[in-house]
Amino acid sequence: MTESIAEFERVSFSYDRAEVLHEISFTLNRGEVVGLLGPNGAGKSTTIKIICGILAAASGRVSVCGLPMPERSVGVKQRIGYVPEAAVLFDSLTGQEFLELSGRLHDVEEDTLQGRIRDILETFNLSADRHSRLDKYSKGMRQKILLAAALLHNPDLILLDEPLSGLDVNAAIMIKDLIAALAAGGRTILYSSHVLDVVEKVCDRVLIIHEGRLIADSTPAELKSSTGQTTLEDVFRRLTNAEDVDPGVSRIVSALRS
Amino acid sequence: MNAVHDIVTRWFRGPAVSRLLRRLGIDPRRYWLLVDLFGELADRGEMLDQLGSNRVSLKMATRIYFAFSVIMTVALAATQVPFAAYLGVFLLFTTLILLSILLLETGNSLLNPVEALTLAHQPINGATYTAAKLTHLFLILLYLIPGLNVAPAIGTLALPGSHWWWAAVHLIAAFGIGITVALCCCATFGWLLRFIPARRLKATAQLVGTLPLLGMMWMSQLERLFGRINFRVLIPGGPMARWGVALAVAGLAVAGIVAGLRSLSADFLIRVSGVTRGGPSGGARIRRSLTGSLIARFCGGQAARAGSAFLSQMMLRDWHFRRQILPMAAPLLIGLAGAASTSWRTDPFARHFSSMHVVPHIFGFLLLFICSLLPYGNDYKGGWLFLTVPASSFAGFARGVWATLWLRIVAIPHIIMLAALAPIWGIVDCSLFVAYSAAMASIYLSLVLRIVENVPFTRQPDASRGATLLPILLMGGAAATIVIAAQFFLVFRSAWIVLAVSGGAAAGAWLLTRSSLTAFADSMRFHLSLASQETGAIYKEIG
Repeated sequence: MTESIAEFERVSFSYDRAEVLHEISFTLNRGEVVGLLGPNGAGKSTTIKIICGILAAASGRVSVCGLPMPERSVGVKQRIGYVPEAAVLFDSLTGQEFLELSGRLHDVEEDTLQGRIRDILETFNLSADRHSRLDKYSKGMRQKILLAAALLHNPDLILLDEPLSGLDVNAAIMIKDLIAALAAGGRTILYSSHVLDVVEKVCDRVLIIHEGRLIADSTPAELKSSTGQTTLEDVFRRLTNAEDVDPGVSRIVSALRS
Repeated sequence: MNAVHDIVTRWFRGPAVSRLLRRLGIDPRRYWLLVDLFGELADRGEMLDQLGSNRVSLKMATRIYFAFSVIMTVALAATQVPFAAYLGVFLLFTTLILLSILLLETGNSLLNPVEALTLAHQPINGATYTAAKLTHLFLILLYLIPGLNVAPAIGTLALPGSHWWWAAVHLIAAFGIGITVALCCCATFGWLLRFIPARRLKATAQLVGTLPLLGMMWMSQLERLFGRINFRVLIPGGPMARWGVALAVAGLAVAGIVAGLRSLSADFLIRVSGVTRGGPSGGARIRRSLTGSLIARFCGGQAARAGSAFLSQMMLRDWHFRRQILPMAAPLLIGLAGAASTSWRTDPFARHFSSMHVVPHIFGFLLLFICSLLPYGNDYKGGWLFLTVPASSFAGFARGVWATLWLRIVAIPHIIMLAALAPIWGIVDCSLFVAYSAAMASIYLSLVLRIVENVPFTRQPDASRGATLLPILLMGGAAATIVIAAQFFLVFRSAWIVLAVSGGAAAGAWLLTRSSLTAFADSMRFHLSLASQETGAIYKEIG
């Protein structure tokens, strides 16, 4: 029997008066890699923020690692790793200091923490820059620090919001392998991205959100067969009514000419 | 000294304080991690906009208040007032000063949550985060209360029938008041977080932050109001009944503070995201502003329009600017309204002094405050955009900024003044006064534009800038006093003199503005390091 690690039941959320999520329901099971797709503003990041306790759902029921949210958000945050969409960091801290802060806030024992920081930084080729301030880091290096901070405390559920943003090819390949290895070790990964071919390769299941509603929850293969499409990109275009993008492209080109 | 510091630190981080923190729902380990983090960030210049985290500003403010308290002490001790009245005056003064500072600090800490966005997904409960965030309030107390009360405490020894322990009573009472004020400020924001929608929190907090200042300005009216209330009639019965009422009020106040604090610590980090998204919404309609079109037409094309639109939008939406300008501008605007309400019937050419003579200088000081805040902004990291701008655009951009300030702060209010006062003073006298006032305000604008050193809203907020503004304010105040005296005794004696002086002032403003705009544009390019690239002569930008 599959063990569920996160459950969304008829969850809605609004910013001011604009409804961002409308009665969304899904479950994340242990050891799954689940892709979260949707156009810009569909509600992907909001969904992730509700799971990690940064936002509270307006209605519906959310439970993560068996704990109700947002009431037990501190306990949940102990057991999740989160890579936010924007690399907001304390720029005046060094990479080493930022990781130490993150690990200590998660109660990782000091010797273990230093060992993990050393290993992860070496793997990410950041050892030489560990004592440089984060404002000296490139975008890809900052993204690696965020990934490292999300993994340091060995979380049960890893929430990745555009994790490959700014990474070089080698790092991106490594992250894809890492995701597979973490899932094999029983970690659950929710992977939000616009890079559909990567999602298709690494994810066991795909959730598609469009205009705040969950419009698909299935494996990539099932989605392709049920919609009669050959790639996940085509499925996405079809389900989000983005099949006909040519008029939009033409309009931009003609606007630039005027 | 270091040994004492170490012992105190060890005690604070020891088991006794940890037990107390745990009882309050605060995780001691994470609390000290966060306190250390915020201290480290402040030391490295990443949290400069908080007074309690910026020791340089805090020491400067303490020295200023100490000097002020010395003057007050000498004045009160010389009049030999009784100890109770003496103590009351200083405690009231301390309360109002602390309220005005701590309310703003609490608001800034809680509603400007840059750190919270980075820490929101970490396993920290609301109580721990809030306690760590507000710890710097107590540091402010540790500096400001002695600054405000050490001299008065020593001054008690010069009062009639003084005892040696009066000084100790004074200091203990001041610290008691300080801690109560700090707790009240936190509780106030707890109540606001509980009942005000997230999107309105910032605006509400701004309003709350200005209340102590307004209280200080209307102190005499408040005294009169309380003087009229007959508490003996209002609360019938003997002294026991009054004690009962007083205790009930105190109990309610304590309950309110406790409930506010509990509300503040509950789920703060979940609400932070909503607060961040709060603030005035952007314009929903796509419209071309007439002001923008005029500025583009007459002041330097699209770059000027960009400067105008950017300034107008950011002045309304930047949290740091809005938070700072309101308490600075409120006294000036109240002064303006006061001058208008008491002297609107008095022709400026009258033989006796009218407070309308101060009006041109009120506009000047308003412009000074605005320009002193313009370089700083919450979204200062967005300043990278200006690095990609052709160097030739900065002159137009600077003209756009100037034109917007001139139109909104100088031209439009003076047109309104002309329309309102012409029927009372007569068109000639009113036109002359308005022309003189507008010319003077334009001179002020041309001068204060020089303190905007970089592209507006692209520098990290820095609490120590108050220290640089103070000498300018003092010198400006002295200069304005001389000018006001000269304009009353020499200028507003004949229409011809006013006309000549206004013309001269307008010409002076024109020349000064030209030079200030060049300096402003150069300064923007210099601070973006574009000027050094140009003088490197490796390439010359064309077009």
